[in-house]
Amino acid sequence: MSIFLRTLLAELLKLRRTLAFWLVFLAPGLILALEFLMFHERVDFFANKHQPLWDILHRNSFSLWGVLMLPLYVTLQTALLAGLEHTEDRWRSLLAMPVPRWAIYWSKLVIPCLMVVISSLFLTGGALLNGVVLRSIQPRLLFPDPIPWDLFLRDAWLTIVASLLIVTIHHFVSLRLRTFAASTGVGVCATIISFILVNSDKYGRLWPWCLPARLLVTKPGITHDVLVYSVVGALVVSLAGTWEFSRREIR
Amino acid sequence: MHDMVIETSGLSRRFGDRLVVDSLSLQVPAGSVFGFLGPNGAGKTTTIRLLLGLLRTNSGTIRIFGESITTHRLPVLARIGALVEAPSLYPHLTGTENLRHACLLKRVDPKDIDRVLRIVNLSSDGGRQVKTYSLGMKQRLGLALALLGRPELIILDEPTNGLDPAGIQEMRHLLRDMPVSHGISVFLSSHLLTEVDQMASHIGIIAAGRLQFQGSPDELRARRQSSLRIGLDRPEIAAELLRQQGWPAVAREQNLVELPAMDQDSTVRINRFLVERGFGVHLISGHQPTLEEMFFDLTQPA
Repeated sequence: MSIFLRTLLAELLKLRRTLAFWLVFLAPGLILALEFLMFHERVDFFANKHQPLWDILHRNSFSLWGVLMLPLYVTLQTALLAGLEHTEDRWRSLLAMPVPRWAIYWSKLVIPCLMVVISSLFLTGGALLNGVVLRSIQPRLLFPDPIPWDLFLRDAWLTIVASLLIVTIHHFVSLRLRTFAASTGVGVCATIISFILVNSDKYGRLWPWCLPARLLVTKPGITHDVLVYSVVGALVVSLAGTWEFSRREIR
Repeated sequence: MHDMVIETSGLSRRFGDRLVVDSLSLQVPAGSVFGFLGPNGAGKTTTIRLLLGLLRTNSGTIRIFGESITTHRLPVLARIGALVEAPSLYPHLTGTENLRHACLLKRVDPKDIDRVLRIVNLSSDGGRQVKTYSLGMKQRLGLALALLGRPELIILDEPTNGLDPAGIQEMRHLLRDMPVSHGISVFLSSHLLTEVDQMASHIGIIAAGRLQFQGSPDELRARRQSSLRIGLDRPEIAAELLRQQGWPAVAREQNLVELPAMDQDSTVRINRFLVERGFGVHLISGHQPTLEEMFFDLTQPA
């Protein structure tokens, strides 16, 4: 087994009984619960729209997820994961193991990436299930067949790719800053700024925390720009982070 | 096999303006239990972090098993088990899961977990979460982590810190037997000479970043020099007057003045000198310093 795979398995082992593990389902679960209650409690409003509700369900789910929950979720997850090592300065034992520093940095990066993938897919599956359940208990709500799973799944993957840059930034920040409050503070501030910038073509397209939300803007070429910026930016941040982490001293 | 498992030469490390490790040249023989002694802040932990590649050196070299830690960090670390300060354990995992985590990183067969748990007497507690362990159990689990994969050398930073007397005794037995029963050389730091004296075959004493002594406890004992102790009032003034007469006297606590051991005539002359100047001499005796006193003298700033 390669050293990277071993390091990754060791990181996965550490997730047992952690809040970080349960957040994978709790964060999208909160959105799903809100969505369900919104349709369930406002049946008349949505029934009177006389249009398929899959589009509304899709847009609500991914805007709540992309604009608010995903950036905060990434912030929290990366801070919790880094906290496993910052607490009691466990770095000194981890980095005294016969493992290359790059393998530790990248395995720790893969974990939040995997978490975003699982959460986004959980959100997608849950949103579709919400529609199916809602139409069975409230037949006036118009969730017609066929179920547009391809639309939901496509946007789930786009959101995942668009979030890569903020995952890599928060991964770097949370490993660098030793306190939980400092690293989450960065994420909360950046997310609040993204609320202001998300509709700005000039600044919103450059602010990494806006990228998942900008997928919802219907303009030609915007999806391509978001994805390229996220992937290239993530690569640059990760390589810079690996270089910094490899040189870091444990005092 | 190399005669020395650890060799440093002119090792120095500075934090800002402060020279924490100063031209340290250590030699740790294979098959030894090497006690690295020094008061708090002497540079022990920094030295250990340098040995493990957690810190970079400002100057000097480190060779472990004859290889440079700078150029052969991973192969060297694969042959070492380390416990740096308090054991770094994941409290939400069980003892066995902590060991499995280390097995993955050290490329060690998980079958080795039972063996190391047996060595540290934790076989029946491996399934419990570490947050339920006592401090002594955590320390023993830390030692088990260091022993995983049968390393040739274990480096332990203050391994008995926070242990109760029974725990200290247990740890002492475990470590003292390592070279013979498991073929492992041990490098351990401590600020307690009495503790190290009971288990170490070799000692290094560091103070203010500089190595003050290196050798066996017997060699340290052989350096003991007898002294003459005089009990009297106003020891500082007496010592000053004696120094003015050419006797190298030092004032000590408990109304004592200490001089190198000397012949009977000189002792009589010193006594007469002091009495004639009105000092109330109530004690004159020869003194053989204890190891503790030697350690104190070696590690006190001049």
